[in-house]
Amino acid sequence: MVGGDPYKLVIAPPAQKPALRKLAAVGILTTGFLVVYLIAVLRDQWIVLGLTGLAVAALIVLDRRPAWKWELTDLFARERSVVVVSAAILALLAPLPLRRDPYILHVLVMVGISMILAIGLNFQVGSTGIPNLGFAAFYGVGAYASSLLAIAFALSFWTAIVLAACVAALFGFLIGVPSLKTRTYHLALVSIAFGLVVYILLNNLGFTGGPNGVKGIPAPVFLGQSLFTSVRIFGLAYPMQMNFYYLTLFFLAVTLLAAHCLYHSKIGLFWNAVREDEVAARCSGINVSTAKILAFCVGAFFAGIAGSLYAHYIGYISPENFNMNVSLLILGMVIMGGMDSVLGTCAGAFLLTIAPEKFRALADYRMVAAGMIIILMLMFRPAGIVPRRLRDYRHILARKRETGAR
Amino acid sequence: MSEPIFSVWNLTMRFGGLTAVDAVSFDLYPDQILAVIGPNGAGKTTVFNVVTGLYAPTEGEIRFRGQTINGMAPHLIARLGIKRTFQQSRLFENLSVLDNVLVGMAATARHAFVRATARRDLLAQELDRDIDVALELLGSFSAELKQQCLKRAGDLTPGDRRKLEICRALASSPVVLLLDEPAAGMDPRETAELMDDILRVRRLKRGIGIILIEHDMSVVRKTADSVVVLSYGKIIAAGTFADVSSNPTVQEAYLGSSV
Amino acid sequence: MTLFLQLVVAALLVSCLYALVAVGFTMYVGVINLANFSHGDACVMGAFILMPLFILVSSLGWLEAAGALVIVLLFLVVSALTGLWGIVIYRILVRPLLGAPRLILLLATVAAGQVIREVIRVVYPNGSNPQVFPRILPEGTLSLGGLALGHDVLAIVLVTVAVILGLNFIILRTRLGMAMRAVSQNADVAQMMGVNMDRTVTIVFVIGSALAGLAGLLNGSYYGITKFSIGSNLGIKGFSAAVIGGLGDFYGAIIGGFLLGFIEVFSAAYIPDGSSYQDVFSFLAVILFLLFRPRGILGERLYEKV
Repeated sequence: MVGGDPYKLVIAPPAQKPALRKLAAVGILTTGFLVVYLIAVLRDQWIVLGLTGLAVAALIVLDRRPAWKWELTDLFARERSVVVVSAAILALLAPLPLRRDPYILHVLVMVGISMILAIGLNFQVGSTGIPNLGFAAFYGVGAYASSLLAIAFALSFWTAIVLAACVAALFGFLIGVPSLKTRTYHLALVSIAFGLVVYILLNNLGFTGGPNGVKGIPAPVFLGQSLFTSVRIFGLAYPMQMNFYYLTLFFLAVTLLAAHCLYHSKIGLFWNAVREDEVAARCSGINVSTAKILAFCVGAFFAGIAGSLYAHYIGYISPENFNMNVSLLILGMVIMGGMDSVLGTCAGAFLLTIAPEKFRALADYRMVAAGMIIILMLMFRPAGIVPRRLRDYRHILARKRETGAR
Repeated sequence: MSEPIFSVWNLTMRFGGLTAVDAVSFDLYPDQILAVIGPNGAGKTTVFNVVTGLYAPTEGEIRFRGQTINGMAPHLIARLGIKRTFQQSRLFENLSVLDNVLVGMAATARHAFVRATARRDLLAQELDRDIDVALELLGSFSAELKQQCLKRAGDLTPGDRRKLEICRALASSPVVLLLDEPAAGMDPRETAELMDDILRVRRLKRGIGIILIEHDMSVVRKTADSVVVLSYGKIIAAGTFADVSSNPTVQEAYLGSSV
Repeated sequence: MTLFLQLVVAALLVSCLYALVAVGFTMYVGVINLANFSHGDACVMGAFILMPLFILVSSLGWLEAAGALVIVLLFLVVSALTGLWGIVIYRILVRPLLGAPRLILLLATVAAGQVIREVIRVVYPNGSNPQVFPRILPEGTLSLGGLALGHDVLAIVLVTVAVILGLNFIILRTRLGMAMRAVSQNADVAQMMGVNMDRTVTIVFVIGSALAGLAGLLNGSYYGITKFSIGSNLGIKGFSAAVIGGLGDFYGAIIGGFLLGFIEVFSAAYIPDGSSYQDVFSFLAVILFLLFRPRGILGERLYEKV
């Protein structure tokens, strides 16, 4: 998986010219971001295809040259703060050129929501190894809980989203407990069954509105302004989708932060141990049941957040938005993007949200193409777009080397 | 003679109609290395599985430091201080060598999950200390293993895998260490290293008791203080290696007829 | 009383349909440990292959000439064609991914199912809408003391029984069956003993897909209607039945299919407002099984070798 001797590389002295390195990191980040941005935003099929080819070529080159990949990840890891700040700035500036393109902004919002969903599922499938094929149930529970609570009790969006996420987490617990005794296939089926049961209940229970769903979900209000009204920046009017872009970006940032903290915490390590070998994990002292239930709850929590965002953005939800196809789509995002890799999962979410849009030219053949792409990706790059990496302790080890040497 | 730290009394394990372990009893004392030997299928690994909580015993009692641990969950037994290795090494394949050892340490720390949500700067110091301890443990076993600390566990050589598994078990300073056929598949050089490692563990970790399942009699002869022989789930002999190896019942069980 | 018996008949019918799907599904699990989520869509494929063939055959006037024979022929042709699809999906999709983690294969079969579904929808004229399925099963009813047994019901039951007996024979009495059982126990050793794994698995796929085609066919002909999208639901029912009966067990799949069928029909009838919830009951039954007896009715208790 890693070329060369990692320990040896740690022994190498830290690189010179810190300013140059920072610049290089920002430069590479911005280039990558631009490519991805243009792929998302441009309408010209040929340019998009060309850029995609470029991105794919870059990935292949990095694969073939593990030393370059190592240097790159090392660079980004060392200059982490600069990279994160630049990425934040880029993300904040991204919608500004899109004033006349509410549709593209809408797509970006959906990409954001998909990323939150995919990261949520990644806790279960990627980190802990729980095959959950009914994730859309948590998504739906979050959306419905948020909408119904907001409408029935005239709650603000901000209260509703927190409550909805908690309700979803509760459902995570409810599905987690019975799943503890079941093994892979059976677990997959329990999750499918759960997803279907929730779907059927949403379709049939009175207070969920049945197949007609819930309408008239109130818009979020921020600083006294409804997010459904368009905003003016420097005198230029922007479509209301931009408000939701920033709203989603905010929650995505929260999700990414949580994912980062969990990954680097003991829980993250335990989750991985459970995934690798449950018996060995048990005999090492890990309470596997607690770990799994936590994975269910945390994953469901973020699905609930995504659901609430979706509901209050679109203003209308129905059980069709949370059926098994959606579950499988989210699973596809995680697997194709790279299991247990947050960056990969986001890439997968991006791909599977953008691709159907880009394939609109194919009209009816859209879904066929989507299916074929998934199959091809699984056959030729099963590790995902951005495969997971081992936990990187190089810097701690390097520091020890340095203090040890003195 | 001090109190046994670990004892098993009348332990019986039945799977449906099959009695895998039949009224097995033995004691383990601190600083003692006890070998459990016997032909394949005699129930040795099953004994390990039962005492570590993976199966609940059908009959009998398991005591650790005076406390009965029958039916306790495996992770709680591990946290009490009983750790094991497996016949087919069960490493966390896609985690690094260092991570494997860190899991062994972290999982048995008190309030593991509460600590998991502690502030990051507190955690960073702890992580630093943990890595120090882990590296030292790895280094004391094998310099190569320490050198490869960031290597993926699945990419290790078989000998290194076994060493890592033992390191992971030792990471939490257990009181009882169960080794399941650690010498399986090793060449003579590796076997000799292994024997040294086992003896070194006993020297370094004062008070630890080691139970060893082994087929390689040279390992048993060199390391074991006491031997228990299992056949078809029953103990057919117990004592020192000399006693046991000259016992005609044992010879018959292993070789098919008295030598 | 008659209502009860009527329900039993209906349940029997539904059970046969589920059992056919479940048997195909469980074969994949048993022999190569594969959860094939495109199985339900292969059923739909069978139905959609039949419809144009039926139109062809009736326009050629063959139906008037030798009705029953032609229908049987159609059944065989459709099963054969879906069986061929089994070879395609094995060679192209499954075989290259056999070494990959199970979740990847599972997702691949899901994607394959989606491709089947969408191709049907796009290629078939007016594919997005429900299609009327031709009446190919015998008309008429048999009256047994107040109980109405449709000839179509009898036909389906007979076909199912025949298929089950045939498969039973293959599995227990032929070398192929022995090879299948050997591979399902231990693939490596089976190969060392001379079993041609590739050929055996290919045949398993052929049989499994043919069963799917047949099941889809019967499903459509009983309900008189079919749609490109019913594959996933059908597949899940088959999966559920297989799990209830014990994954990997041939007889388990049959028993599971019957259990599922009876639960569905009787809960829809006896629980007020049951029919709209009927799927919930089946899935709840499955969940209960998974909680309290995950190995299924006939599955062996697998002690994980530590």
